Amino acid sequence: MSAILEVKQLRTRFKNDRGKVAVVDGVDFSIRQGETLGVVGESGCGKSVTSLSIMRLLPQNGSSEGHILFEGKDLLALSEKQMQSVRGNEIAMIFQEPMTSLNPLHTVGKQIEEAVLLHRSVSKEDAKKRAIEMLKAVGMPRPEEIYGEFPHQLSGGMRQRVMIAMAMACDPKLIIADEPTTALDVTIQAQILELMQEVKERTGTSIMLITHDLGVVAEMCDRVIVMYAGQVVEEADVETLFEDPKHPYTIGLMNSIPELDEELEYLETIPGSVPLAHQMPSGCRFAPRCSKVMPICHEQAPELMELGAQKCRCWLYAKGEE
Amino acid sequence: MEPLLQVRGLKQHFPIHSGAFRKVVGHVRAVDGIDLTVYPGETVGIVGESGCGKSTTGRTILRLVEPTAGEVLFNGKDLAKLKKEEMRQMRKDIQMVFQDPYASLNPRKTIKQILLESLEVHGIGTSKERLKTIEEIIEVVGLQKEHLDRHPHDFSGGQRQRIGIARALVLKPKLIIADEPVSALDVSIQSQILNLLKDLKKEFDLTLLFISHDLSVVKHLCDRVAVMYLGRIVEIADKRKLFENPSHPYTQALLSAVPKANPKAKRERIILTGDLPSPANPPSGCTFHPRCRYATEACKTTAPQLQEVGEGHMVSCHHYKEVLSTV
Amino acid sequence: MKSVLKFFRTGLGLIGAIIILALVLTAALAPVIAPYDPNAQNYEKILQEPNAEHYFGTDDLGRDIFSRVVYGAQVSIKAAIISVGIAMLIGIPIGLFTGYYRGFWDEWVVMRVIDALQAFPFLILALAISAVLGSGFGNAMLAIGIGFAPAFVRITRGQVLTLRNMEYVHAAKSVGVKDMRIIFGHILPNAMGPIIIQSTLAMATGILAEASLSYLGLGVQPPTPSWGSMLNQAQTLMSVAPYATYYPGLAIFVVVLGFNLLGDGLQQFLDPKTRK
Repeated sequence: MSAILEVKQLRTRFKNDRGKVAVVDGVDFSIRQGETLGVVGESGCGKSVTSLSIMRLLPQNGSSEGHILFEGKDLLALSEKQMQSVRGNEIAMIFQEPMTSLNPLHTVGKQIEEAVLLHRSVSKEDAKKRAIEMLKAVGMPRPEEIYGEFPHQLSGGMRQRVMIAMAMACDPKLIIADEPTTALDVTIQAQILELMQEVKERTGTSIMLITHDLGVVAEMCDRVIVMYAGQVVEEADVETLFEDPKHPYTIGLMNSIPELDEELEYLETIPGSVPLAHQMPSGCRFAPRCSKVMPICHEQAPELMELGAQKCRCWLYAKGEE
Repeated sequence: MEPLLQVRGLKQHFPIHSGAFRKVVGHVRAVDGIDLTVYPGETVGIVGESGCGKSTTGRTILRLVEPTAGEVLFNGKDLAKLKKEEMRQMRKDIQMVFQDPYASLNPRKTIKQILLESLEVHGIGTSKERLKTIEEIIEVVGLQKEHLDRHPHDFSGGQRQRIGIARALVLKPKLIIADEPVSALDVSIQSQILNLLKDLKKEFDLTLLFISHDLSVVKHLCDRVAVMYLGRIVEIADKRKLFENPSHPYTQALLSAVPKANPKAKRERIILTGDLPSPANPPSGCTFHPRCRYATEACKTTAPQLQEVGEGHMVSCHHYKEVLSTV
Repeated sequence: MKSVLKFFRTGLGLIGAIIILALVLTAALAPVIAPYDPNAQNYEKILQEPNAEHYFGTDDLGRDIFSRVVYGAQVSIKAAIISVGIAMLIGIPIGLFTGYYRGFWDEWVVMRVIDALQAFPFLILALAISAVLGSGFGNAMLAIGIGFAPAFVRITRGQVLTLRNMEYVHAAKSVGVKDMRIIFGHILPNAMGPIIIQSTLAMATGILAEASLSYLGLGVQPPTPSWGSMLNQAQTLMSVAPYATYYPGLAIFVVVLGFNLLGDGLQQFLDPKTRK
């Protein structure tokens, strides 16, 4: 399987009062054809900014360096116009809050139709047919009626289905889903996850799934990268990650969530909180919160090291270092 | 043991106004007849999805919104009947921890002012004693005295929630109602707060009413759990019974919907079809029947009552035996 | 200190602040700045065009227009502060209580009265109240203040309606804080931003309204110099001494502009949506 997306040394910085701060700092990963890659991390780890960098949808004070190779072409080198034909067409995005990412003044049908008309030279009727077909494909009851309804007339779960329909409308090769179920209730989340799974199996599209929920990752993903403070700290296929997590942060994260099928008196915690982007610790960024911290961790930043099929950014696994 | 809190037939119906003369055209039945008993020292969880009325239940018990009907007996006294000033005095004994640690602290006050206010309004202690009390409390929740002179915006979400908990503790209440206290926090911070709550439960012998949408969190913290759907309790039981023998189809579906952090786990998921009906216009009979795979004609016409199916295990379902046999 | 700097970086707000500061200094130092007694009549030098002796010329009674404009700043400042002060004194408490308690009084009495009052153009309303109360500076201020009050009721009430549902207000209530302390200790301080912005904008209108009422003879009584009354007297001389209208008119323009710029600057500075 070849990589459809390769991100190399991505560094995204934001200008603010204090100067430029790097929110994403040297991120490398790739997504293979037909694969679901999970991107896990807590707020402020840079996972959403990574996705916005790929889509080139950063706010004005943000800028990216490095390479984002999509099917071999570097997205960061494209002109804005070229990028527009990639966005929504070859790469589509699903956001966390479907209410704010749908235009409240247009019917949902029109919005899907618009996406089709933008990238395909088809007639209006065909675009409408496509929109209704997509609504049907995402399991909407009465798709013809829903076509003419406004976003506020739909429930949260329905709106997220519309977002997915819109994302799928042009048969994208990659879908970036940024916390697509976080705003939804569990029973609705279950519906949407099932739908995404189904869509993926039917169309073979690749998915980059950004989430903080390890349960969602375990269910949906083939491979996972764990991000902390703007960097990838661990990368593994999903089973390896849950069976044999290597990075102390990954381990801490897994042990800090209560599970339905286990009973613990106390949860493990990761002390302290995530460092702010403009006051990153020198050395390993996780060192101040790490239970396995060693002297070297404060002095020198570890690289992302290869450990068989797994990668981990931690001095514990450095060869020849004790 | 005497119950600390007894809620009987509690209802909270919000009127829907329409037209120029704001005529009442209907009611949102946010809470529609709830019975709930909390004994001293226990932690009772209320779980449910958004719109089920769990938060409104908490707020109505505290009379942050006036109840439409029902009794709220606290230590035998009906809170719903207390005069305004009596209720204000009573608030000393029931405190609340709020969901959003950013919105629940007044941005213009220092932590000291926020914590002192509780003691001041109830005229507790001299100013020296008050200061001593809050200096102790702030350390109990894992912050330092030096933090007292700062403003809320100087703190992270987790630290703010610690301050919110400190505010609830300052008056040494008999009951704390915690409304989604960890749902706005990152997982690694969430576990810190959950552990803090567990510690505080032991240290202060707290009675806690814990409202949450997160089943794993509720299971971790609570002794007894009530499941709410459309303004009613559909099942209530000891934690272990509820999670091992869920006897209401909704509880079952809710449990099966939680993603498990284990890629090898077998998934036998019950996918509920459709959306939550509007509490302004709930379905007839059992309000869950349009989404229920056990539903029969009887469910469409007759609303089931909560009935005991085991010791302390109450379920409101016509078909609970059938449901139980599938566990 | 940092936030003060940020405010001045808004540029226009700074210009507004400088104008208002200049106005305040002019009013305070009027006896020093003005070369002549503003009310001293000099029949040997009536209707002189602007010259080295009389920078802005003289009026039909030979009074120095420059000195009168300088002293007029005192009236304008007083007008701005007193009228808006009265409006705030009336409007803010009403807004706070109706917004906090809601109910019949709020919805059917106070808000409907305010709707009715705001249906009149502001100046007509002030004029009507002024006509009932009689002429004079005090009554003019009262009239303008009452005319402004509905705007303050509205803006305060609007803030309270949002703030009363803030979780920290619920939190204060659940701790057992009394209503008065919630209203004045928690809600009012957080509502002040928009109220302050409204008050600077109202001050601009207040100065204009005072000038208008004085122009119509309902405000400041002669011989006290007010920009409005100066315009009133000058307009009869339009054909012979047009310059006599220029300077009070210009003064009104600049000061009103100053208050508006200050208000806009404050808005950018206080509004969390535009504040980074």
